[in-house]
Order: sequence, then C-alpha cells, then structure tokens
Amino acid sequence: MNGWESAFHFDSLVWDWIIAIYLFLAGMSAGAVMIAIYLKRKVIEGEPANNGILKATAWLAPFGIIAGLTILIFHLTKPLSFWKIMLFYNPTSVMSMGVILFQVYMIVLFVWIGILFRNPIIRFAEGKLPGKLLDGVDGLLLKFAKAGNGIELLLGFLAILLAAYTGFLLSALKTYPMLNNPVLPILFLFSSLSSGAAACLLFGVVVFKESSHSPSVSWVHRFERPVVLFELFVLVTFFTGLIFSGGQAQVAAWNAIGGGFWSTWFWGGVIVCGMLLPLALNAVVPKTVKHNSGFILLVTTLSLLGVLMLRTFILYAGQMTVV
Amino acid sequence: MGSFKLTIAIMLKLLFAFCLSGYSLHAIADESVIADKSSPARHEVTLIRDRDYKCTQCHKDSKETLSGSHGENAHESLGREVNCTNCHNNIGPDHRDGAPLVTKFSSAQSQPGTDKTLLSQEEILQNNGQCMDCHTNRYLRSKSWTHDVHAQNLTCSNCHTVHASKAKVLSADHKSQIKMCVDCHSDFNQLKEER
Amino acid sequence: MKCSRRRFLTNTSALIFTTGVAGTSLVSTRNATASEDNVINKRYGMVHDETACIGCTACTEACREVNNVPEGVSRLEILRSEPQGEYPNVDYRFTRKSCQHCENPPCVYVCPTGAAYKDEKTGIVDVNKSRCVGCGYCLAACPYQVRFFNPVDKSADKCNFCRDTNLANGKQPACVESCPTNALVFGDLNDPASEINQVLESKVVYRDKVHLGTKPKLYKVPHQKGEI
Repeated sequence: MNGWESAFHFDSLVWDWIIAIYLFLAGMSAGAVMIAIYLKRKVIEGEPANNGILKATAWLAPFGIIAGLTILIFHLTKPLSFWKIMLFYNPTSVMSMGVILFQVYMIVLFVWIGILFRNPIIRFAEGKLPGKLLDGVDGLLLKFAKAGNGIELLLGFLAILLAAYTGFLLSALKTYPMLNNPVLPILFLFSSLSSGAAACLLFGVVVFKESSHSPSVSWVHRFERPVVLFELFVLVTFFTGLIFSGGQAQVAAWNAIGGGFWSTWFWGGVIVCGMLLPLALNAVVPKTVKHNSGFILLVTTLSLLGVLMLRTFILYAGQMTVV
Repeated sequence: MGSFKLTIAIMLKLLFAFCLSGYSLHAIADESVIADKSSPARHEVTLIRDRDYKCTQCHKDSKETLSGSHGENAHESLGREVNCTNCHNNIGPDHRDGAPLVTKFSSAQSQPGTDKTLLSQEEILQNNGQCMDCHTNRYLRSKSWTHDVHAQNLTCSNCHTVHASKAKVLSADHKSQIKMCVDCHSDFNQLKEER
Repeated sequence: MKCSRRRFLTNTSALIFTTGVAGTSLVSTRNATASEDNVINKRYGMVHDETACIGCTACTEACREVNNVPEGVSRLEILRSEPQGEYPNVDYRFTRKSCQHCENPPCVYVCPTGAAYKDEKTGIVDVNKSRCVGCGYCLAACPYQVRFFNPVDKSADKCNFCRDTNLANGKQPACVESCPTNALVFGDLNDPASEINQVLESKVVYRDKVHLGTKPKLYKVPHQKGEI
C-alpha cells in the first residue's frame, strides 16, 4: 500500500507515531485529572473515594503519565541517558520546562491520590507492608490532607498547564508552519479535556461499575457536548487561520486536509468517527440506551480513538510541509 | 544344383567387389579435394571477412581493447560489428607519415589548461558529434548530468576511453570520480586566476 | 540623634556621591580592562559562491573524511537544480545545504539539556555529544533541516565549521580547503579586513529563510541564471 508508506515516511518527518501516542496519553491524563477535580469539588455526592469516575482517574492519570514517559524514554536515541533531561534544564526550551512540569505534576498527583484514597490504600497495604512504614505513610497523608484544598487547586492548575504544554511543544517549531501557530495549544487543551472525559467515563462505568444514572456520569456526559463543539470550532479556526496566512502556511493546510491519506484520516477518522458520530449518537439515541454501559463503551471508545487520530494527524500532516 | 552354388559365389564376390570399389571411390574423392588445394596454380582472390585486418596488422591490440567497450553490446544494438573506420575515418594516403588526415580522439577542453589541447566550443561539439551519432544526447543526459555541462566544453575522451573495458570514469568509485572533477577544475581555475 | 532635614540631605547626597562614583569607576574599569584584553569575539561565517560551484561534491567527501561522518548521512549537501537552458547550453545551479550557524539559533533555544549551544567566542553553533540524549527536538526545530542523528554515536550532529578538527589545527574547514574552484570562503565577520567581508562587500549575496529571524551566517552568491 504505497499510500501508507509515503504517508508515514517522508523526508521532513522527525517525530513519529510514538510521539503521537505520548501526546495522547499525557493529554488524557491531564484531562482526566481536570475533570476529576471538578467533579470532586462540585458534583459528587458522598465520599469521593467511592466514586467510580474518581477511582478510574486515580488509575488512568498516573498510568497515562508514566506510560507516556516510558515510551518516550525508549524513543530517545540514547535511552540510557534519559536522566540527563531530568537533571539539566534550559529555560528557553518548552521541552525542558515540560519535563520539570511533569515531575512536579507527578508528585502532586500522587499526593492528591494519596489524600483522596488514604483509607482504601492503608487498608489494602495492611499486613503487606511493615506496620511502622504504614503508620508513617498514614501520618504523612494526614498532614497533606490539611493542605488538601491547596494541593487540589495546584494539581488542577498543573493539569491545565500540562494539557496546553503538549500544544506549546509543537508550536515552538518554526520549521513547520502548520504546527508553528498560536491555536495549537488551545486545540490540544480541549482535546485533552475530551479525551480525559471519555477515558474516565469509560473506565468509571465499565470497570469501576459507576452507575450511569449517577450525577457524575450525567455531568460528564453533559460536559462532553460543549467541549467537542468548541473543539470543532477551534479546528475551523486553526485551518482557516492557516489558509488566510498564505504562503507556506496555506500550502501546509491544503496539503493536510485537501486530499490524500491524511485528509481521509482527518475527515473520516477525526471529524466523523471521533466527533460528529458521538455527538449524533448522544443526541439521537433514547435515554434508556444512553445509560447502557455498552453504548457508553462505544461512544467513549469512538471519542478516544478520535483524539488519538487527531494527535497523529497533527503530528504527521504538520511535519509534511516545511517553511 | 552345382550352378546354384556357383551363382551365389559369384554374386557374393561381385558384392564384395562393389563394396570395395565404392569405398575406394569414396576415399579417393576425399583425397582429391585435399590434394587439389595443396598446389595452387595461380593467386586466388578470397573474401576476407575481417574489415579491420589492414589496421590490426600494425595496431595489433586495438581490436581486442575495443571489444571491451564496443563489443557485444554494440553489435546487438547496431546489428553489425563496430569497425575501425567507423570512427577513425578519413584515413588518406599519408597514413604512414603521421596520418594528418585520420580522425583522432585526443582530450581537449574549451578552457586553457596545463598540458591540455585547447579547442573552441564549436570544434569540441563537432568532435563529440562522432560519438553522439550513436550515444544520443537524451541517453547521455539520463545517465549523468555531467554530460549536459561538458557537451561543448570537453571531448568525450577526457573521461572515457573507448579502447578499454570500463576505463576512466565508468570504472572509478565515487571518490575517484570526484577527484577527476577536482583535478581538471582546480587546474584551469588556477590558470584563470593567474591571468 | 536629631535627624534634621539638613542632616538628612547631606547624608543622602554623600551616600549617592560615594556609591555613584565607586560604582561608575568600577564599571568603567571593567570596560577598560575588557578592551585592554582585546576580547572581541569572533563571528565565523561562510560564503558559498554559486557562480563558481561546479557541484563536484568534493566538499561533502572532504567533510566526511575529516570529521568521521558515517556513510548514509552528511553534514553538508550540494543540491542540484533543474537544468537551465537547452542543449548544448545546459547549466545547473548548485546550492549548499548545511548549518547556517545562526546568531538566533532555534536549535539552541529548544534543546532541553543544553547540549546544543552557541560558542559565544566564535559564533559557532555546536553539539555537546555527551550531553545530548537524542530527543530530536533540535532536528525538528531547525528550519533549514540540516541536523541528523549520527548512526554511530547516536547523538545529534551537524556541521560545526570543523571546530574540533581543522579549525583546532589552525586550518580552514575541510570543505573550504577541498573546493577546486574556491567557491567557499570562511572567515570572521567581525574582522573588517577578513576575506569574507571583502567578498560580502563586493558581491551580491543572499541568505536562506531570513524572514524567520534566525540571522544565519551562511551567505550565498546567487547563480546568474534563474530566480533567487
């Protein structure tokens, strides 16, 4: 299939599908955290540790970040030197600042999860870890819990930064006019929210058996619609802006969506399957089916696939045209 | 009864005689052919298929060395052999006295160089026309862009030897090819700067 | 102590006077010592004369040899244009694609570990190979696309004006030395008497992608035929 070959291998390509997956995972993690924090503060009734969506986030967010960074380490041409990127920094480098952000985010995330799920964690570890260590951890978590509100707000702020960071990382590249524009971080922030929502909904309902009639699930459902609509608007702004800029930016936009492999990927995969279909399904389907976990599985999977396809599209099609 | 025996005996003897004479005639017939050729009465003109016979009597190696570059492949595409006078035409009567008229193919260039023949661009183009009758411009261009820029600046023999198998640029590795460019260009550039 | 207005004014002005004089004298001394030491940084640049370039790629091979560049990748490339003109007057235009040693290098800005750096004393942009982790950000950030991963040491690599090879031995970069038509000129742009400045003053030159604000230092004398 020559179309596939030349779509995934071309001269100006530097970052490949591994980076796309990393961007997706990092974005999903940040998005899930943002939604979880909002749910906890405004929507949930009862003990947060019992909420399926929060439980899902407690697994998804660290997994997303850790898995993403692990594959990134193996993507380096010198994987064993990865510690250098954590030790040395360059304030003008978005990647360097992002790595610092990641490290802080991870710590605050684990602290927050620890505070939230202190009881289940201690109960789980009882008998498996030495008593003194357990008491020490418990004490530490209680101390953190006192600053719980501040930590939560900090985490929310860091999550927003992280979601936007993935966009800033690419927009710093002057080489590619399609990537080097100010709308990309906004696009990535909103696609993080939509992928985070889809992911924690999917795992919350299907794995952690959160009732689909609960206020948190309803809220996430309701939240997805404006997010996806706004994402569509941002995409329109993105491509319109590129076309209006003229020059290589315009060439890049048409190369990306005007025909060819990536154009089909974008219109068919990202727009139709990833955004329009879930929107339509959620609007049209009767209420009884809407709360069926199978239906939720379908719609959230479509959404997640759509976001992954969006990130892959932006990365590959963006690198096709050089300034 | 007796005559029957006699008949058979005579017939067998006759058969034997026939065979013997037949075989002898056959043998004599062959011998006579060989015998005929051994002593010619006068000079006989026979067709010599080798057109280059006269040239190769003195230029002994040239036909062999030619076959390396213009041998079988050329024979296939032309439908005939490549002969000496195909390229070295205009032999003339003074051939043995330095052969002023015969077409020769020496290295020449359009810029003055050290130890290099200087010819005008028109002359070079004309000289190269001999080779380019068969090696057309389009074919040369598809093989290498260097033919384009040297068409009227260098004679073919600067980089190619016909009387050799894949000699000069065709057999050189990448680095040696570059060295050929460097050697010529640095030479005439230096002379240009000195002037 | 009674703090009268007069006293206040006197003390303040004394303070300003002393610190001001001391400060300015300190600053001016530092400046004076700087100029005494003659620390005027070099700003190395290169001119590629496209009217002289014959596309032989001797420069590419010389660079490969001197800097141990493995096969399959190259620190510099000579790109050939489409043929200009009709037979027998066909000509080609050759452009050099190699590190521009920008004064505003995007690769240096994006490197997360600081492995990509600009040597302020010479203006050469280089890679600290032991610091490089191979993330590829600099490869993506360079608008001229001149960086690559060295398949042997896995580090990001590019032309460094032979900083650690020929320049360190007092010679011109390998490409400059090898050019048969003297199409390459290398030198200090800060030195008004240097050969490169003479070329820049006498010939029309252009640089690539100047509108990006990278301030490249690889100048090119345009070929006479065709559009720049």
